[in-house]
Amino acid sequence: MIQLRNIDKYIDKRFQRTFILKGIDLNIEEGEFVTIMGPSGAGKSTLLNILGFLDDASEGEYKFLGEPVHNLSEKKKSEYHKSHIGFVFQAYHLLDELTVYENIEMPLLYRKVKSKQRKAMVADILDRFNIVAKKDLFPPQLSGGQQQVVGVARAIIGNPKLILADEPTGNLHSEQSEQIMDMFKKLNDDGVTIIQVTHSEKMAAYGNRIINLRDGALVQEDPYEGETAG
Amino acid sequence: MFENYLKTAFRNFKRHKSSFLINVIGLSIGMACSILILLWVLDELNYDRFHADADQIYQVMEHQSYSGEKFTTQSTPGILSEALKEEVPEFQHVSTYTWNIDYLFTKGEKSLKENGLYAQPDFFHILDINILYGNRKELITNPNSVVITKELAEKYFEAQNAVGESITINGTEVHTVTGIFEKFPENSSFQFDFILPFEDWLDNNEWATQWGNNGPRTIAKLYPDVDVAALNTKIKDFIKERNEDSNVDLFVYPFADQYLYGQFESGKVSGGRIDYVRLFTVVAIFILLIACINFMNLSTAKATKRAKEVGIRKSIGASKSSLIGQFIGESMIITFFSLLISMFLVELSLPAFNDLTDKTITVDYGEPSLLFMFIGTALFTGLVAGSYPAFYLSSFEAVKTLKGGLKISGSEAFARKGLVVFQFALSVILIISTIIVYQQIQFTQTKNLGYQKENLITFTAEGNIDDQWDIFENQLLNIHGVNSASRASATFMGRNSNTSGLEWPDKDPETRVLFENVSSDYNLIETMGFELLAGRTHSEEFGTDSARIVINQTAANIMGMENPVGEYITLWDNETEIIGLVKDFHFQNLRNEVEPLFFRLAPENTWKAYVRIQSEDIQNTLTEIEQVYKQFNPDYPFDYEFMDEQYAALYRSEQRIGDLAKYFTIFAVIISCLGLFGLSAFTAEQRAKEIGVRKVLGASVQNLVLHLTKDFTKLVLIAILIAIPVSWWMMDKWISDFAYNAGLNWWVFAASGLLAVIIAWLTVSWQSIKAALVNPVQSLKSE
Repeated sequence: MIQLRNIDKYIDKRFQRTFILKGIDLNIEEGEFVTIMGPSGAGKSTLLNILGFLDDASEGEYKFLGEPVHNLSEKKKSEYHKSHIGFVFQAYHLLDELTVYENIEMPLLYRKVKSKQRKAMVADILDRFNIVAKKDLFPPQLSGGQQQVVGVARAIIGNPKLILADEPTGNLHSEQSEQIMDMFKKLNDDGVTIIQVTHSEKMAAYGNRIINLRDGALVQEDPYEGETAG
Repeated sequence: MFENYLKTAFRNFKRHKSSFLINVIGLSIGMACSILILLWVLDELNYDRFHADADQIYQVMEHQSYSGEKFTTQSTPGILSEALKEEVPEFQHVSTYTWNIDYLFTKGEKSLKENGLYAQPDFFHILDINILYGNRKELITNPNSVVITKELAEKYFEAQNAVGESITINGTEVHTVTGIFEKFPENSSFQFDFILPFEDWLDNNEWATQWGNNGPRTIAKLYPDVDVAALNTKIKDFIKERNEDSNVDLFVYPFADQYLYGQFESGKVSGGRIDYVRLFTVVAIFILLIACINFMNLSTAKATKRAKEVGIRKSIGASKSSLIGQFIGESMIITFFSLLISMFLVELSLPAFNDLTDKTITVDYGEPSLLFMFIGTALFTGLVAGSYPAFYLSSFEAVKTLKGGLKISGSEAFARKGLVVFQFALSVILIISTIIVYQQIQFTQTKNLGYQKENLITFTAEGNIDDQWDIFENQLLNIHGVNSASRASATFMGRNSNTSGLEWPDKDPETRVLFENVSSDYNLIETMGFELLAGRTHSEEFGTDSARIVINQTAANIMGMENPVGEYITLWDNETEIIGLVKDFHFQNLRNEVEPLFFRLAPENTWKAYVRIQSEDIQNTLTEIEQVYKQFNPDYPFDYEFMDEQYAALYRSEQRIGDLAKYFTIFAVIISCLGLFGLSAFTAEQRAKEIGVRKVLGASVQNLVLHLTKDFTKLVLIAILIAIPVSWWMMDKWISDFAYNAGLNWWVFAASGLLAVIIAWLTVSWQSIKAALVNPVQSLKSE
């Protein structure tokens, strides 16, 4: 599904080039649940953003579903955002002006789903995530865990093939975190590819492969080591 | 999707009430001003264009040459129309007509002054005069006929159809009503209540039958598709062919163009009211721009708050264009909401606006072109105001906004500062211009005209007063409050009668100078208070004074006479002695230089009475004058005017422009301040943490207020620096139209600048003080 070849990301400042990512080679197959770990500033989020087309690599080759990403137009990228990729953020990033229902509905609007079908889909998700009672509340009226549930609901309503989660449990306490990770696990079982960034070994354990980043470079790639360490 | 945008928009408005309010107030005032101005402009542009064949109607005009200078006038010989119709086939209809005249209409008990003119039968075939009763072909063919408006018919005959009835005009002449017509709408330069046969006038004014004399006007309808340029070449020498001495080039000029393009300079159109139409169109755009800038600035200032939304929407799959659409849509919602308010404001202020502009503009909501104008204004505003924020916001990169690390780039802050500068520069330009217009009006009103315009009344010397002037004058002088009285053929409010028939020794035979010719009675110069520099005035003690003239200083200068008194000149082929010299006085609008003038003793040609009264107990004196007046003219109403009021009326259009400019300037400043207020509130909020830290470190409230106001002050100062040369250049052009003007004073510019700074300070300091007074514990706690 994802092929990265020799990806660099750097910032040029005056006469100095600062690398955030350097020489990343990575393959991720469909159906994987990948965890990216590493210390702060290792470039985890940048890698995730590049994977999700929110950011461009400075150099290297990125193929998504066999198609080179650097050739994608802005339009094509937003097409992929609509149909293939769902994002979950540490800070939830819900729109405060919209209700739970409306937040979840939004991706469907951009996909121009018909009203009737839209209602059915939102109702289904609300039901699945057990938040029917909260549908008319605004995000600030919810706890962090509840907001993140909404965030996940919003991310998967479009049936994405890939979910990118940037420290999805970073702001949550353990009980809430487990709830979210269980959701991810379930989605992964249903065939959704998940890539998450986390600091927590515990959360990493939900995945089936761990990628360690240090100073912008891949340290090792051993799906089993992560598990035993956890 | 649209619903989602709407919800986001409305909930955003609700959350940021103050900036929403500032935007709505600014935009609705801005649009209301613009709509009012547009209505005024439309009205001006449609002036005189309601006649069915307006594009075929032409004014026949003259360029008269005087020593190289060209003087353009509507005055023509009274016999021009007949000759043109007979000899120039391009003319379908031609009519000569007079200026408007007040005549006394009497029917039974009712006796009132009415305003109308003399014209020829073709007049009814040229202009779109709606004849309600009567036969259009036989309206003024008979010398005793008169055609009147429906209003006059109702007034005097209590019926609309008064055809066949008779009415007494000026006490003696009985005329038969041959037709009833509908009064012209307000936006017509022709306004009259009656039309009399021109031949009747010509009988009493034989001078007008000479090719060398000009007075009446001539209007014509050309056949369709006439080549006007060719026609003008053809008729150029039409008058010269009939009068060897003539200096006249005849030409036709589109009738409807006269209103807006009515000023001629050396034989070429040099402008007219169109200048004001253009000026106010620019003002309308300025005000709208100022309001739009508020919107742009507040939207981009609040960008950090909307940035997260942009990031989220982008990560979900929103394309840039859909975001642009969303944000422009939001500005459209605000502008259309503001449009509703502005339409209400327009409706509310229209009576006052009409009063101010002397118009009768109404808004007909069924009229598609007006609705189009309203919607067009809102669309334009929404697009101008919304596009910059929309492009700006939608260009945010999702990664940056979601990380929360969005930094205001230098260029964006620069753009916002630039817009504030632009906005304030416009406001300062408007302030300066308004003050200068007012200064000039003030100047015209306080300028010493060379005579005392105060305590001087004037009225038409007509009826028995004209016939028995000397007795009337004596009775007036018996009144305690009356100092002196006289009469003249001049209003001293503009040119009335002039001649180039003056020859003097050493005169270059090629030159031709137009002298203002004032026919006067004894004591005119004393009554008016003109200053005699040398010699004497006309006096009964010298029997043959009718062959003697008094001239003004300019006349003496032009004739090259240092001591003109006692010199002889030739006036209309008669040897004439100059007996007196008066100091120059202004007998025209101050736009014009003082021109050469002479007084001639010719009581038979006078028609205007002047009475100098004492400044005490004016009311009583007036009552007594009226009593004397009524003894002579019992049927005539005593219509008098004060000379200073008449003079003030000369500058009515300048006054109007000044008043309009004043109001629009006030609104422009208010809108600018609203924007500045919003921006300063935003800055204060944004810098709350900085203020908190500074306060903890020991900054006093004064320090902080100064610190916060400093940036805005800089912007306003830059705006002033830009505004001063621009307004200097603009107003220098405007004021040099006046031959006599107040000039441009540096202190006006300084004071306007200072005013702008003070207004800006007052606006900003409120927010700054509020921010500076906040307990730092609160602002620092949040992070």
